Amino acid sequence: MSQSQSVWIICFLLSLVLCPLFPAVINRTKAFFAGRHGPRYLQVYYDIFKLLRKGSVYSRTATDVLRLAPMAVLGALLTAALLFPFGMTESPLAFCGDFILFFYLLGLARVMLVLGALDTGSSFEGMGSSREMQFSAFAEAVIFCILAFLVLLTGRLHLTGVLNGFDVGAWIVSGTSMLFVAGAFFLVMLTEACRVPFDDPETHLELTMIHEAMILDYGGPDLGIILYSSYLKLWMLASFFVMLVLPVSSGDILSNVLAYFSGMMLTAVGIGVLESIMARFRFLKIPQLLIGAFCIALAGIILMLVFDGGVQ
Amino acid sequence: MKLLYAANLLFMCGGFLALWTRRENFLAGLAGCLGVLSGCICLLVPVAGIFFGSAGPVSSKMLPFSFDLLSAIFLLPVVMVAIPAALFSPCYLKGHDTNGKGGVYWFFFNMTLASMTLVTLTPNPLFFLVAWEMMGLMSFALVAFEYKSAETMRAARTYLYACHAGAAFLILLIVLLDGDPLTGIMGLTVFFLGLAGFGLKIGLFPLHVWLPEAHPAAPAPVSALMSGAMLNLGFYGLMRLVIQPSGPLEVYGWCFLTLGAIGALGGILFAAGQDNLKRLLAYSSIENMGVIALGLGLGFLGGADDDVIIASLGFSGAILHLFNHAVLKGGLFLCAGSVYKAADTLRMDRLGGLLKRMPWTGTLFTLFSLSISALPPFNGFLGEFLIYLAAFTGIVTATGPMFAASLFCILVLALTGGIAAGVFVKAVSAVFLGEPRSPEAADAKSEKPGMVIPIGIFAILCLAIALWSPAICQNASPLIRYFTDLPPEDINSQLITISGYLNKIGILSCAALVLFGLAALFRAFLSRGREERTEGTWDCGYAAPDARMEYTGSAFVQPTVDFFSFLLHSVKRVRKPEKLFPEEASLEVETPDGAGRFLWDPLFRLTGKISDKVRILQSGYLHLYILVMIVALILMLVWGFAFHPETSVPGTSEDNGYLEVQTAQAGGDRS
Repeated sequence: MSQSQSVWIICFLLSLVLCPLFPAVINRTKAFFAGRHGPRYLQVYYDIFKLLRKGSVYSRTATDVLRLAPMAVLGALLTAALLFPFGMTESPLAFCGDFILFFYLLGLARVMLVLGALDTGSSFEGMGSSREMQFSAFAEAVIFCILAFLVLLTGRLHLTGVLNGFDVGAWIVSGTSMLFVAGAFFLVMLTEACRVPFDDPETHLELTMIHEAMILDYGGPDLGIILYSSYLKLWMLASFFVMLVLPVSSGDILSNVLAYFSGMMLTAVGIGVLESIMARFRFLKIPQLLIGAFCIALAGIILMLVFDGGVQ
Repeated sequence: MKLLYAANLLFMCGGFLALWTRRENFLAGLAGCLGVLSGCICLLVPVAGIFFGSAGPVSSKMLPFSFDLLSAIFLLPVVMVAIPAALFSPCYLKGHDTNGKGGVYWFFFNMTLASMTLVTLTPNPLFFLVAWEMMGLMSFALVAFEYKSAETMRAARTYLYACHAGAAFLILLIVLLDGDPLTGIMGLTVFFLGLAGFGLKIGLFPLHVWLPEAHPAAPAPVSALMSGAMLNLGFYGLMRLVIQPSGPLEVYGWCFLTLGAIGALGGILFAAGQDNLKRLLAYSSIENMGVIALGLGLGFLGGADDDVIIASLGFSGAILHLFNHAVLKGGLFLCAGSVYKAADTLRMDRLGGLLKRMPWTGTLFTLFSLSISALPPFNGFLGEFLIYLAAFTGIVTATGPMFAASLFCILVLALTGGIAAGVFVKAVSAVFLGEPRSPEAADAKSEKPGMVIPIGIFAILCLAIALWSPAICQNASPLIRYFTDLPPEDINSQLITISGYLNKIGILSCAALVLFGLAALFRAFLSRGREERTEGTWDCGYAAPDARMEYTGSAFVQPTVDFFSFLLHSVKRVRKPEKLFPEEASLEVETPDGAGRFLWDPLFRLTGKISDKVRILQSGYLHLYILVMIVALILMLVWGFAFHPETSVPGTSEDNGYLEVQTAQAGGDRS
């Protein structure tokens, strides 16, 4: 096992531990903008531990689907994490086409969550699920467009290669395309992670929620597992974004990893700022925004082809 | 070869015995079922021998039959679907098989199987056509099983017309095939005739109109057989008769790619709009046939481009997806049949909560649905993965049109996959989850073991396909070698690399299962000694939510359907709430087939109008007929002499050469 792969193990474990900090930073930023003090950074961990120690209440309508869904979500996301090259390292399990598996595992996690929500027969959970499935169909098209761009840019066919295969030079040579693609991915990341302007994780009205509406009937350990899973998903998507925007490859692994973690920090602050200065969009507008993102990504590919001579 | 004949004989014996004993339901069922089972087992030996073993192709000396890998690839799904479908039938027929209908059903079931076997066995175009027509007619009788219902008969007629329209193209095709291998413009004509004729059977998008009609009308095991095994045979016909290895591979590739993309997207979008479960499944078949066509298209384009990686990935992905679709759709249709028998309706907006009544059926339906939405760690993911990978390879290596094709393919697959997940989530939740939405669903009968076991067989087959997927992909090698002129050693080494990817996916799938198991253990550990209660569903503080407030399947997909309304044109019938105290309000949404409504209906109406005008000629006056004949003769004479003076010279030496070519063709040396 190469050095990069052993560092991967450390980064993987660190990511599993640190991922709840990401929303904590977002919350602190938002609190700062609202003139509040905000919860402690470790509050997210306390919340999860508190939830894990509680009993649970299930709906009378529900079957085992509701009970099994959180574990399936967690299992799928953890498997996806095994493929992800956290912090410019190399995943030892990488193989050709693993990014397809990665994003389809995220899809599996989403579908399991939706099935669990629909198992309760609640109208609000149906509403949230319906929106989630519609938006994710568009988001998937954007994601695969972005992947096609990255494959074209790097000429590699696995997540590790695709995300590590370019450096700052790519931003200098084909900056416009990179900007377009990074912008499109940022929009998709917010959709998939259910953040403002697509969904508001702090809303208090069931009618206007997406992700939160789907987990209305969970409590106790199940809720804890689901919250942790959503933090992990946000962490992975944000990592993808950071490695896209901040492709540091200095040769020294330690500085790469440091750059990665500080990039994550900055992204969290950025999302916090965005959430503080923007309101949620109307649901009817969201597909249009996603199609806009799709067009931007496609434009990135076309620019790349026309001006940079294609494959490097 | 002998076993293949024996299988056909067994099918026919079973069929005729069932017809003979139709007065005794039990005997007829037994004869029919045994005929199917023993025939299938006879088929399984040579098929497995050539597929997994080292047996070579065999051909008959006297009769125009031969058996090779291409036959085996398409015969194996037939066997895999036929056995569970036959085992499912007795339970499904109970209550419908009065007046000897059971015996008649078994007769046609066996005959359909026999003709499907014959289709895959004969490379001779004429025999092929006969077997093909027989397959269409026999399955028509199966679709028309409930012949007393007007709706069923309408569907069956649509199917019959589609079959015959297809056969018309095929007759033309076979006339053209008779002779030297065709090149240039005639070769293309042959290809497009084949595409039209076989496309009607496959359900390529604008030609798919019979599928969503016939599947809801037919009994569930018949739908399973037709969707899982019969649609594929269209691809078999194309590969066996139409596609020439020396032909223009780019044209084949682009046609498959375009039709596949339209089929995949169109199929899944129309599936979203459906309320009838079996109609939804029928549209999903159209989508999956589209995905297979995408894979083949990439394969041919790769072959044309001399790109061994794309060609092997495309072909092996298409074959793997064909197998996956066969077993998954078979299982899903049988589940739908089970639901229909239990709740007496297939309208998803009137079902719900059936998982409690039918736990096994519901669980298996959920798993099949996840799998057919191409989600890992299920088998349905594998085929789509290979096709995706072919397209991504194209992004890396190809330039120009091939690059565009790859990008297009990726985007279509991504959008299709996303919508498919939504559609199948809707199907699972509307039928099995939540509260029952109607009295029929609330009083649904519980499932019968006779129905669960055949569905379980499909689940085992899914697992088997997942485990043997590398072996299935290896079998793409002779096909790729036949259709393209890529070096065989490159193809083989590429297929071994592909097996490596599939193994990696297998390892990660196991990892996913293990992690799921660990999470479940962790969860069980957490809830040790903790309280667990059940309460009503949280409905925003409302204390008495009932089934009417639940989200229906139509409501679930409404945002998607409305977004694509420019393609779907759903019909809405609204009765709005009026006055201060509204009493009644209702909303019905229906999505009739787009191609039927906007392409074929106007076209047929136009044809009808023209025929009306021409009818003046058929006035019954003998004078008029004679006049028409004379005019036609004169015109032909003028045409013959004026434009083709050489036709008047009889050519004697030409005829002999023609005959020789014909006999060489009849020998059937294609493999």
